[in-house]
Amino acid sequence: MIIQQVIKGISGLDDLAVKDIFKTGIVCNWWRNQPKGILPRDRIPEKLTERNLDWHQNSYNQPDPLEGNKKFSINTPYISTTAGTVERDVARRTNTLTPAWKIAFYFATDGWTSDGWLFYCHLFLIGKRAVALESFSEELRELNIYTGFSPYQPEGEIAGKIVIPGAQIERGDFWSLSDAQQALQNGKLPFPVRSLANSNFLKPDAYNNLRGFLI
Amino acid sequence: MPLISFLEEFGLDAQLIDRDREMSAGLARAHARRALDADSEDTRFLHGLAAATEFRRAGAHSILLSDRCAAVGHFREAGQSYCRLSNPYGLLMFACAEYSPSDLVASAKEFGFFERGASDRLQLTYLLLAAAAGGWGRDDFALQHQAISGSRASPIGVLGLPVGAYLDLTHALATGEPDFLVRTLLPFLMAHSTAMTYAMENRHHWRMMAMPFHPAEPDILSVIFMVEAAMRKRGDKLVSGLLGMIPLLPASANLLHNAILEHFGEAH
Repeated sequence: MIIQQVIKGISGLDDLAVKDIFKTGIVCNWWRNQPKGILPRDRIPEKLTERNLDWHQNSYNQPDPLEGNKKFSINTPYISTTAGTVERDVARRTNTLTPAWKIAFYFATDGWTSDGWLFYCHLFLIGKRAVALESFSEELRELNIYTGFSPYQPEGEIAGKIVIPGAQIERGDFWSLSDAQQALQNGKLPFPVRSLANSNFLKPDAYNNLRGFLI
Repeated sequence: MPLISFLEEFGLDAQLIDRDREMSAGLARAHARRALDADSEDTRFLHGLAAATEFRRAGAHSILLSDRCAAVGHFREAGQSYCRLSNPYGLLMFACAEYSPSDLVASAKEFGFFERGASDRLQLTYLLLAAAAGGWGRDDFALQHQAISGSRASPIGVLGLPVGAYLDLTHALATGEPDFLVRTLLPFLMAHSTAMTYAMENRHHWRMMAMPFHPAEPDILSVIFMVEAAMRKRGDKLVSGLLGMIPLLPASANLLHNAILEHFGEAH
């Protein structure tokens, strides 16, 4: 198993909402949009499918006939995160890096229109497809696993499932759009304004396979 | 009508593109500054390439926004950034910055590509194309042609067109035969049409422009601009006439047609 650091960008949150997320986790749209917020666990097997994963990546806002032609995004069981990507550019004979923060910042600001939060999370990968397994995320950016062509692969997506638990969220960084724009005007790369640490976060050192000696 | 007035019809958001252009241009300048201050070759290369990529994106956005002046500025910066890293791909950026075919050859000389070659063998493809558009014959570059002749099937660029497609176009430019040019230009036009067809299927990402392929794809537009400029020098308008005759995706044909008109200052 691989413990993968990822970033999730979300806009429109205040500090209280961020602290709530530290406790409840980041939930998928399907759960968030349930009446009374109750997750129908019995439907999870029918939701975590290859078909829905493909729709999540490539048909996100299109009407879904399986959900009464509502936009697929309303009922997606997946949670988009990014770990950045390296794009092989044969022409320029180089590998072009798209950093995770830039993609997450773009989505967190809803296309450069608002401030946004970047959540630094840890997801679990197993290096192969595990679509029906809720505990493991899907590494859509990995071309050796998801070999089909997607024009959006350079987003570096790693798709979480149902919920990213609070214990796997390290912190939230607040990025001010106007501060970022000001930094760029001064010829500097942007940076977060402040950071909230999650006291519920469990460091991977506590559960990875490194077995410490007895003292 | 200017290209910007078609964006809604294409499913694109002019305001979002404008905002993203500002961010890309800002990131480009920040990376360029880091490259300038870098104390290692690797850091200089990494930030130099990031600057080139962001300037390229800002330039392509400017084409969509019908902002010719900004497009010229951003593509010139992109071209210089690539060329400083010994990548003749920068010559394609200069073609988008309204450099004439003879200006491209002058730039290639300025950056020493004729004497020193390129950072990589496949990059010679772009040098040969620019040289052919500038009126140089194949015999002037026999060694370079020989160096990449074994790589005709290698895919290059965002759309993965084979090196052979560029070399055939180079040959056609040298002969100046219209039929030969049409035949060798077709793969580039079809690649744009096909890429746009698939990219538009995902409306969310298409509108957000969160993808490496750009609707005003500089890899394609630069080639079209070079061919059109070379033909116009000979008193002919090739590509703008050709677009109405091939069954491209209408949005693709419309975009390319208007981009040509604006590039050559003929938009109304």
